[in-house]
Amino acid sequence: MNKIEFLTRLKNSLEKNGLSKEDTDDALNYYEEIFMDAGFGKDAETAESLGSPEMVAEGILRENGIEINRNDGFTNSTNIQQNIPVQKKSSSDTALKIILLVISFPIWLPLVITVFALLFAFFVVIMALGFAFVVSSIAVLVSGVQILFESPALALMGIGAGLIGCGITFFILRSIVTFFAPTFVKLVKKLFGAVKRIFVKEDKQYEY
Amino acid sequence: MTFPINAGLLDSMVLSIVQQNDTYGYEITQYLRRAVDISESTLYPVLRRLQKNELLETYDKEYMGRNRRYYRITQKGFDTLSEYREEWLNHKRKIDSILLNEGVNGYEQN
Repeated sequence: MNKIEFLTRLKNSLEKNGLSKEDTDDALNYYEEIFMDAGFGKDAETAESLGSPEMVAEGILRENGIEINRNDGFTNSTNIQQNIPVQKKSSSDTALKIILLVISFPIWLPLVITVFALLFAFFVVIMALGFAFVVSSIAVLVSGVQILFESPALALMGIGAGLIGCGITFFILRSIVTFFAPTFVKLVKKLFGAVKRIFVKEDKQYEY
Repeated sequence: MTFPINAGLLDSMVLSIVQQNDTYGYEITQYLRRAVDISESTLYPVLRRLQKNELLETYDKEYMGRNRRYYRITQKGFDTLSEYREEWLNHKRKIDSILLNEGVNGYEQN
């Protein structure tokens, strides 16, 4: 586990349980400093000696609970109440997002369809170009063989051109298969991911 | 066998370290490790508690292009530390009286 992962997991655990922003930031500052004081390149070692971020978070949360308990027996319940609005806010946030998405669908649906259509068209055009090139190359090659005895000079030129065409097409097609196809798949995946992320609340990364 | 260190003792030791001179989290842990097996994760709640109870205060000082948080003892912290030290001596004497058989006189007085 590296520094970023440790801090991110710690931040998520603390926020999830409704610790105030001030306390969360203080804890993150402290642990970030520990990582830096321990020395560059010792991230994994340091993280191990600190224990799992979730356990660390538990300790911090418990300490906050205990402290409130000590000063006033009733404030413990307010601490629990503090958790509820935080959770409510995030869930109503998601609900609001979904409602907005549904309402605005006449706008985004055509856009999404257009993007997909364009990507598909792009792919088809490339394939069609490749196909046309192959077919014409083969045609030149075949006609070259046909007129071999009537007009040898022309025939040799045709065969040569046809072979060159076939060779070029072979290389282009191969690069399409090895480069463009995975990129296309990745692009489609990314698009789906982006759409999915709107619905599913993302895990926040610790910002740097 | 190791004797467990409780929160009060840890508080006292941290106050004592900071009283010597202002210092930062990582260094405090290194110092404590001379005596007890402790990680930075154990120290954090201690520092936070001392800070919230106004026994320690913090300030940031630049160190190699970043800010490092230093801890400084307050007057209240100093008073508390004196109390803790007295309590500790008391406690230590009582324990020693039993553990090291030093308490014959005390026992007779009761």
